[in-house]
Amino acid sequence: MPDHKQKGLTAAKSDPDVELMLRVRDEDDAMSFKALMDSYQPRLLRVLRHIVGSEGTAEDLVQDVFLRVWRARKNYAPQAKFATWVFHIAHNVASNSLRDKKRKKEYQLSNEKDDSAELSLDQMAMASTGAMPVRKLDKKERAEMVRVAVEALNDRQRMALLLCKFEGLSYQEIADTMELSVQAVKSLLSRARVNLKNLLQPYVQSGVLPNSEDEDSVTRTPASNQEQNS
Amino acid sequence: MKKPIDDETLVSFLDGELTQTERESLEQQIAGDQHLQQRIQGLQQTWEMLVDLPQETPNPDLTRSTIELVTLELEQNRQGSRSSFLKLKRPLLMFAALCVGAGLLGAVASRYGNAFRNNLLEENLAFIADYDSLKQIDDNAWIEELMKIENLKVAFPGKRFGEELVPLTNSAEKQAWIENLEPVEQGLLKEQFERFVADQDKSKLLALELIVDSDPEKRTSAVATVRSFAALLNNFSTHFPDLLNAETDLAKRRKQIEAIVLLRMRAIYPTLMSETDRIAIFEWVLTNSISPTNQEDLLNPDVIEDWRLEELLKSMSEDSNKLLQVGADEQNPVTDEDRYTIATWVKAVLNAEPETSPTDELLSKLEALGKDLTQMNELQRIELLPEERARKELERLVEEEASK
Repeated sequence: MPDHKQKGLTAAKSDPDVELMLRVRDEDDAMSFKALMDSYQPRLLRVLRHIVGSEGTAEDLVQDVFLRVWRARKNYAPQAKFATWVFHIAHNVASNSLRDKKRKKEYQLSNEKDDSAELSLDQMAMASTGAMPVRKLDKKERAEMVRVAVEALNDRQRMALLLCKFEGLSYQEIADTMELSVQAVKSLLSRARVNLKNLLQPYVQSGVLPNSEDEDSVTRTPASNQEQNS
Repeated sequence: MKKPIDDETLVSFLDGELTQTERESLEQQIAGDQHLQQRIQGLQQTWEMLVDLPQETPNPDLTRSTIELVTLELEQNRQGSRSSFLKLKRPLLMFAALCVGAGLLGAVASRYGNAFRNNLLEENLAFIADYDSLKQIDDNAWIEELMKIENLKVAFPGKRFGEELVPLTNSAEKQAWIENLEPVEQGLLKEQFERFVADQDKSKLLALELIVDSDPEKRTSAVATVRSFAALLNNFSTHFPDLLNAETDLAKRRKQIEAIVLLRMRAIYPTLMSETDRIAIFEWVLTNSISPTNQEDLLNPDVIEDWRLEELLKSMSEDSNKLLQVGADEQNPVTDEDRYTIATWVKAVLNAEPETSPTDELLSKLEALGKDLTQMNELQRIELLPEERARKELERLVEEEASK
């Protein structure tokens, strides 16, 4: 048996959530299912919110994930931590959703500016060159800036990054979750972190933000989005 | 010359993914290389900024609505197969178990710490046992109307705590009734009791005691009706909660709900259902007069496939064509199956005999005499009366108004 599979089985044996899921599988144990929902709902929501960009959609997807867990319970065979399995389902659900969303976008006349983002990626890029007026960051703006930077990453980089940062999954576990090789995960995370650094470091160093009053001078274009997501 | 360290290696180092040898080697290089230290610091600083990402708080109804979807699925599976008695009870047991925490399970009566709560439970036991169903009902008149639809009970048999109704008077019998429940059912009862106690709108609900305290035959029918109505609500399904929450006027919302029900056939999550939604569905049920010929067709997509398109399309009116478009968009275009559904619905409606209520007629008379019904506080009291008494009261009001 390959080394990583053996590690996965060992991790599964010591994971209390796997115990719960086995009770759901073998006994239809409703309380165990509810315990898993209580534990994973906020975690799934945090990751999916930043993948799909909308809280309402993220909640629908979380619900979808648990419905799939329920439907798949009889075939559940622990190969790794429960989190790896549930986030694998979440990854599939999110990918389908993003695919649908992109398909839908093709019908739209233009890529509207994202009103929810007070700060655009272009502003950040221009500000880092020193071409824009800047002002001091407050906490809320800092959070907004981080959100915009994370959402500027492409879907796969973002998923890998969130699983690594917030779920503490190893490269192997992320690879299992996203059906990638470990090398591909390493590469994704590397690019994600370097991109984040390039976007955020000017503000870490100066503690300032591009002035949003000058927003009109910069517009987000479909091309810039595509470039960022390519 | 040493090979430059790439970003992948630095990131793997920060994530603790290097082997011990690789890590030690890199640490040595870092110690003597200021530029490398700065690169690592830059990556690390921005990584740590991710904790600033806004944290989402799950909607408190999310667990409950997920549970309802699971329950609904179990219910559908149950309906789709001939199951043993135990399997038949499973959806209810699952729902009960999911709704309550493990600590709530066990004998309900023995867990209530004080006499007051025991009395409160005992006094209102019949009501609390059907709390969830009764919450869906506005008043007696509503139940009376629903009771007229005989096939509602056939189409949506709503079972709760087995077949036996709660005994109404004898304390020992009530205790025995509780003790005979399955542990998870006791848990559900306890959970309903807690919500009943916390219910701010209890007085309105308690006014419905008239129903559970009425004569035995009527009570059986009334309880079965409210259970059926609750089951009916659970059978309506949708993936359009946003639409249901939208601020729209009743007429428009009703059209939307009809369209969703007919086109999508999925359940409205009861927790997301507003009073307006319930009223709209109630009206839809009344309008469509569920009958033996259409009860299945309205909710069963499998039945639709066997119907003959051409013949049914002839029955479609202009209005139903408009209705078809309400729930349709680029993502959810109208399909032939939808057309089958709506055509059958239109046919059923056309064939249904109109139902008129004597109280409705009297209300119309009052309105015709210039009374503004929305300003008549008296009507709220009248609406809670049994139909015969309500009718007499309304007749009196019409006479008074006519003689002015």
